[in-house]
Amino acid sequence: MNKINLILHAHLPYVRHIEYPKFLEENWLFESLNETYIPMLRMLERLDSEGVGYRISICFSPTLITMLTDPALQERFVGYMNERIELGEKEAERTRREEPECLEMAMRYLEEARRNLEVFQGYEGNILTGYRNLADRNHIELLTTAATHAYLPVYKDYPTAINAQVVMGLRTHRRIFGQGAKGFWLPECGYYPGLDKVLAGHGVSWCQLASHAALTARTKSQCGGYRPVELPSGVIGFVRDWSLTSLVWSNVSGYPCDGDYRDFYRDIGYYMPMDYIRPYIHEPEIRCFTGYKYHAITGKTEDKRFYDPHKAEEKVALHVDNFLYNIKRKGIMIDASGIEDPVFNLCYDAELFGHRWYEGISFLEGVIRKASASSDFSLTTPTSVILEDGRTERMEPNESSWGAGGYSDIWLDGSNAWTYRHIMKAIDRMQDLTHRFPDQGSLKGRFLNQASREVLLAMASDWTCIMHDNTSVTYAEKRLRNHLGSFNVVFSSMSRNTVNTEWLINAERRNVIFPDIDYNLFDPDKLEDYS
Amino acid sequence: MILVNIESLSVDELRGIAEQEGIGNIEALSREDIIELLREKYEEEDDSEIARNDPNLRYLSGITDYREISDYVEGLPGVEELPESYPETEIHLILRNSSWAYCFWSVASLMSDHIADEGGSLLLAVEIHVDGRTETYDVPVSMTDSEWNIGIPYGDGYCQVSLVSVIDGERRSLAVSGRITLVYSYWLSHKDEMRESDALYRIYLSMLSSKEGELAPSATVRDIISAFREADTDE
Repeated sequence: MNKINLILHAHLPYVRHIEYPKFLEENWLFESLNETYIPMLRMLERLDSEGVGYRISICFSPTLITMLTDPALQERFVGYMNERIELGEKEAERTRREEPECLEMAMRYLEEARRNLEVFQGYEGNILTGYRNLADRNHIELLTTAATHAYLPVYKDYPTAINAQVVMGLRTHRRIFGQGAKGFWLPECGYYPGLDKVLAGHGVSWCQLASHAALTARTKSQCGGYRPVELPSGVIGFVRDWSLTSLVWSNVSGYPCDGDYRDFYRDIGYYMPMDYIRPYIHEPEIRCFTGYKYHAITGKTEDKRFYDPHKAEEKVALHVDNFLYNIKRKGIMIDASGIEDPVFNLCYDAELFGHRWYEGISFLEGVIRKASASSDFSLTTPTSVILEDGRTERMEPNESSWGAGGYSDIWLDGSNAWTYRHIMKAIDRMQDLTHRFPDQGSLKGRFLNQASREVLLAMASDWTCIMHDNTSVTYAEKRLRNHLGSFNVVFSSMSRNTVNTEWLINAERRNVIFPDIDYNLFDPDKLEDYS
Repeated sequence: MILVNIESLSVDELRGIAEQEGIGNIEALSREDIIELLREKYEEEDDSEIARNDPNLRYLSGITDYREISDYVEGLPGVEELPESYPETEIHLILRNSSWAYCFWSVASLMSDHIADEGGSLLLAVEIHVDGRTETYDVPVSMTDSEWNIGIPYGDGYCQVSLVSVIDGERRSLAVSGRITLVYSYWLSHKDEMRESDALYRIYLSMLSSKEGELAPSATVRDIISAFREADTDE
């Protein structure tokens, strides 16, 4: 029996700019909701209602679940969806008249948008309720991650900051889902020796590890990552299978690269006449994705053919079969090597499915349906594997990540190394503040709590990753400077033993995250109390 | 994209990076040639539209800078300039990969002025404790430098860097970094066992190679797999 741990990681950085009537980077959330989080929930609910027995794991990051439960963002999402629906109605007319090849997809997008909005409103704006219901029905293991998705290895000299990231990740998960998480997604698979001890101190049972963790470990691995590994603290590590993951994620031959699949980039927001598209893009006339896309990837060419959803459906079925065939074939080989019932850990960003890979949700559905119906596979979760099997291999991995190179090069390169000078200084100063102003209540306590929020938000791996990737660099850099600047406001005010009340109220309104944070988390002398 | 202060790196450091980047015939190249080749390589990577349009990019790698014009976000609240330096003298060391650590430091202005007034200089004293041995060497840095890449070996041990002032030949430690643990790989330290571990090698390979035979992109993985292959060839 091949055990499959399908572990999806849903994460977006905290982006909330209610002070603007519209803010483009909030579309990252809205697009992911409309194209991934809601369609995936619908698919999983459909499987449940049909009695398909499946189990998968999903990590919802604390920043994402904070945004998903934010009434202001929920309201703005409804506005976003109403615009998409209005555009869809226009597109249905336009394509019927001018581009009949696109009519079917225009109608499909429109219907999907209507249905997604209906589901969203059915949950009164909080789709996490749906995911929690599926967790209650034992289909999903929900896990958490670091508070702001900080890449932890670079901060290992700051145990208070590591601890705060872990504590606030677990605490936010419990506050929003109503129950604790046994699993902890290491942001970017970032592990360093000793991190598991922090996790163990907070009751975490398992985490995932980078694919090369077993081969490159400090100890000899006999199972190569096909069996859960027991880390020195007793926390169980699940090694991501690079080979199987690459079937989807390879940028050379991954399934989503298939020419019959829908192209992500060719969106009417970028090519329709401005007079037509203006109401659905950003002011002043900034073109952006609308979600209405009619072309297939075709190949590495500008001349794209129209997307044929029926052809794509056939391709999905082929890719589902190919995926499971590869797992089965590999299972036979591993089993023959003496490792019975190998565990395959397949870790993906959730947003790959539906958002970036339009057919990805159908692919997942196909994999789940076929694997569930087959005696060759067992769709399971890490906690189930620990409880039901219990066989592990002791291992001491090195510092590692899933980034290119296997270490920290993505988050520490020429484009972003400068940030650590400032972030680490902020952590130093935050620690200093906890000593100078211990256990403050009321206004000073709120002021200091806000400072600790800003430090955590500055630590997010998203900003350095964006700088490395050279995508929305300006926004990432502004955000980082914003958080560090805000921290400095508190630091300099508290150095004069004053509280800037007006600034505090605005800052609390701006970043409505971690309402239960306690700045004393950054007190090095109190670290034992938390671990 | 990977380099910090490329001009400030030593020839040995540059050769190490060039080797990692797959540039051949390194020994025959001058320092300037290596810098030029590395620059060209990174410019190529930056310009790669194919990479940018990869449908499999991770979400954050593929997010769109809708505006593409920085002016539109100037109005974000709370944005302010960060100081170029801080008033404390300190040094930090972070592991970047199995071969390199990133070091950054600051010197309090009073201290900095004193060193300059006395005609002194700064250096980084690098200590590497590996497999029971201790290696130490100095890296002279200028008063305006504030970051450096430190080459590190595989092995069981750690690396630590001190920021040192030198005035009239007298060394004074100004700050000491934390220790970073070196990457110690069981297999790189037990190559003699590889020849007898064919089944394990196949298991490892099945985890870390794509169906096209590409290895997971990691220098350590490449080093270990190469060693396995060599052991197999030796047989």
